[in-house]
Formats: sequence, C-alpha cells, structure tokens
Amino acid sequence: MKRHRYLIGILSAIILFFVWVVMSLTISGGIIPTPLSVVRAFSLSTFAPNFLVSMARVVVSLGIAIITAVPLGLFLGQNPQWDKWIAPMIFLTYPIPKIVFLPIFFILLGIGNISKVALIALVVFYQILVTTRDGARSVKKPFMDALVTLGGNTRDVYRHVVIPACLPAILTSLRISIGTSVAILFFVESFATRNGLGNMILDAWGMADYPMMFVGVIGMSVLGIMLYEIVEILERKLCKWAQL
Amino acid sequence: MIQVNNLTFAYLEGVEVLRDVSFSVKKGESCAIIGPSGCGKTTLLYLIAGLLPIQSGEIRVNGTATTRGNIPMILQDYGLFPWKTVWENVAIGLTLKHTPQREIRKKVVPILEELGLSPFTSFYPSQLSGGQCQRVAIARVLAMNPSLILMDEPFSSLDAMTREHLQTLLSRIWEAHRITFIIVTHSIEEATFLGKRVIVLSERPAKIRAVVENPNAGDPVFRSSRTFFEISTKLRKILFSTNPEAQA
Repeated sequence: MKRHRYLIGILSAIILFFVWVVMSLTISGGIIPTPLSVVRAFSLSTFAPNFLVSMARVVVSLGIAIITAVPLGLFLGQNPQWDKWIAPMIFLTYPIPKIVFLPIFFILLGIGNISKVALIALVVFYQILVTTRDGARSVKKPFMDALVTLGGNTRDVYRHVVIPACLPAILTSLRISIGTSVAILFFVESFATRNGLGNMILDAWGMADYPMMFVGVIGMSVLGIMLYEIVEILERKLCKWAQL
Repeated sequence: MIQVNNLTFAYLEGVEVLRDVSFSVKKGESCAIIGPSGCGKTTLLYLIAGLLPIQSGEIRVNGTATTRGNIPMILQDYGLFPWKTVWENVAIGLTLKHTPQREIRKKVVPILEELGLSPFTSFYPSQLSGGQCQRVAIARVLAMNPSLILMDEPFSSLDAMTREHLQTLLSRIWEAHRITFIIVTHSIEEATFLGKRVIVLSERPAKIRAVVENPNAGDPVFRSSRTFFEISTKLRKILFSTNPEAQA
C-alpha cells in the first residue's frame, strides 16, 4: 500500500515534468523556460538564503497561529456561553480578505519581518480557529462523562478527550493553512523587502530572467510540499486511530 | 452501601423526570433498574454518578453524599475512547490518578488476561467487535478496583448471543471481585438475569412501581430455570400494567 503510494507519486512527478517540457518547447518567448535552463540558473548561494528566510517567515507565522488559535478554538467550542459573544465577531470578520490590511500592518509594525509574519499569522489564525472550534463543539458528551466517572477533572477532559478528538480536524485545517500561508507569503514578499522567494520571483520577472523566476517558483512549491509532508507525518503519528 | 432517598429531578425546561424515588442496595448486591424507554433511568444513574446535580432528596454511598468521579460507569456507546488503544483505555482511570507505570502494568495485565483481551492490547476500539469493546469497558472499570459500578444499558447494541455471554461473564466477575452494581436496562431478561433486586420504574416522571426480589440472579443455570420465567413474566406484567396497548 505504502509502496503503491510512492509509485503513484513518482509517476505524477514524471507526468508533470513532461507537461513542463512540452510547454517550454511550444510556448514562445522563453516565458516558460526549459528544465535545463532552470537548473543552470540555480545557484545555491542565492537560493538558500532566500529559501530559508521564506521558510522562517511561514513557519513562525504558522507557529503563532497554532499557539493562539488552537487553545482559543478548543475553549470556545467547549464553552458556548463565551462562544455566544465571540462567534458573531468571528462571523463578521472572517470573510474580510485580511491581506487588504497589509498597508496598515506596514505602518503599525514597520516594513520588516514582523508585519509580514503578523499578516500571514492572522489569515491562518482564522482558518485554524474556526475548524478547531467546530471540532471542539462536536465532541460527544458521553466521552466526557465517561472520563469524569473515571476520576477526570476539567484539565483531564481537555487532555484525554477534547484535544485528541479534535486533532484530526486541527491537522486538516493546518494542511489547508499551509497552502494559504505560502500564497500570502508571496504577496507580503512582493513589497518592501530584499529577500525571500517572493522577492526573488518578482525581481527575476522584472529583469525578464525567466529561468531564475522559475527557480523561485519551484522553491515556493518545495516549501509547500515540505510543510505539507510534515503535517502528513504528524497525522500518521498522532491520529493513527482515525485512519483505520 | 447505597441509599437513595426521596429523589426528585426536573430538567431546566420544567420537565419532571423523577418523582420521589427511594431505594437501597446492599453491599455486594446487584440491582437492576428497568422501565419504559425515556422514563428517566439514565437520569437516575447520572445522579448517582454525580454527573447531574441533586435538586431534591439525597443519595448516600457508604454513608456519605455522592460525588462525581468516584463511581465508575459503563456506558452503552461512546464509552471507550477511539483515540486510545485497548491498553490505554483500560489504564486511563489509573493514569488519571497518576499511578506509576509499573503499578498500572501490575494491575492491567491480569485484568486483560481475565477478560481474554491480552492479544488486543495495541488495538484501537474501531478494530474490535462490539462484544470485545464492552469487555474493554468492563476491564476499564475493573482496573480501578471499585466497590460499586454503574452500568447504563451496557449491552443493548450487541447481538443476543454476545449479550448472553457478556451477562454471564459480568455476573461471574462481579461475584469474584465482590462488586456491588446497578444496571439500567430495558431488557426484561437482562434485568432478571443480573439483578438480585429488580426495581421497576413507571413512565415519566418515574416513580418506583415495584421492587422484585430475585435471589437467584447471576447463576448461569438460573437462565433456563422455571423461576427465571416466572420472574420475567412478573416483571412484564408490572411493566405493562397501566400501558395495555404496549403489550399488544
């Protein structure tokens, strides 16, 4: 089964690679460079620092979002009397595309990393919060009753019932958040910065250096896939029971 | 052991569920509570377990007022935690008491052995049959070395054969460990087989309609005896006495 999965993965990669080759050969103007020219344009000394900066921004943002959204979501899901007051606020602000606040973030937090990280974290925060809260809300009462009759207190109920029950939902929201956070990363790195993959892509675009631009694009993809895989591994380790 | 005095309970919406319920269960005795569905049997059990606040009347366990977290309960479904293995499920009560690992091992291993669960320690509940799951639930309360156990229709979602097996197993184990238990059920045969004292409740708001003494309960041969059928018939008569259409 596992080998099967890897085979399909490799096959998909090969197919995508061929699509890329065909496109690079048929679309004129060098807008889609050939794989070979992209490999030639790759230089570790320019790629690595940009990749690491971008990765750090996304990872820190995701970390902040998880640390804040998960506990709040669990709490609101378990305490309807509080959720009653907070839910309308979330409901009203959730649909706002948070990226429109980028100028405000730049003014308030400066144009450095803080504003970038804060914006990514804010967007992801909502996704994780809403999923976690809904998960915590739907934890079956008998599970908690069972734990209480076995001597569990409120903390135990969170630890042994609410958190494990919500974990699959939390990890799913995290997976969705990874895609979102990389997209927002590109957006925040297109302004007022001299490093990061987003900046690298836009810079190369400005100079019509399409092979270099593709190095950045592939870097962004690798970043996304890497984080996605980490969540996948976490899920397999922590939620074995949900995958049976 | 357990003394319930003039217990009355109503939900917030003003629906009265229990009215003036009083009974007692002696140490080592088994008590079955039976009544029409929705009559408040589960509410009664939740009150004894301390999961619901007592509004009027009192419940005393060994002379002191009941408190939550002291009386383990076996539930119909959802009792086992799907995210914990058989081992973790059985050990949870001890884990909550911060029992050292070695101690947990010493207690859990023989219990799993006794219930035939040793080969399944690393299984998750979803990998087990319904009967195996309820055996895990029994093991879990046994691990806590309780003197009193509450059961809320523990076997109602099992097939008839598994149910009989488990009833026999249960009475044997409870007897061996000298555990007092109260079982809520809607099955007349189950009440007859397991309850040395059978309490019949009326429709909501539940009052005690009758208390039937049934000294032979728990004995495996009792099930095929004449007295078993007599008691079952008696219970059936009491249950349906004011509700003739349900009998038809």
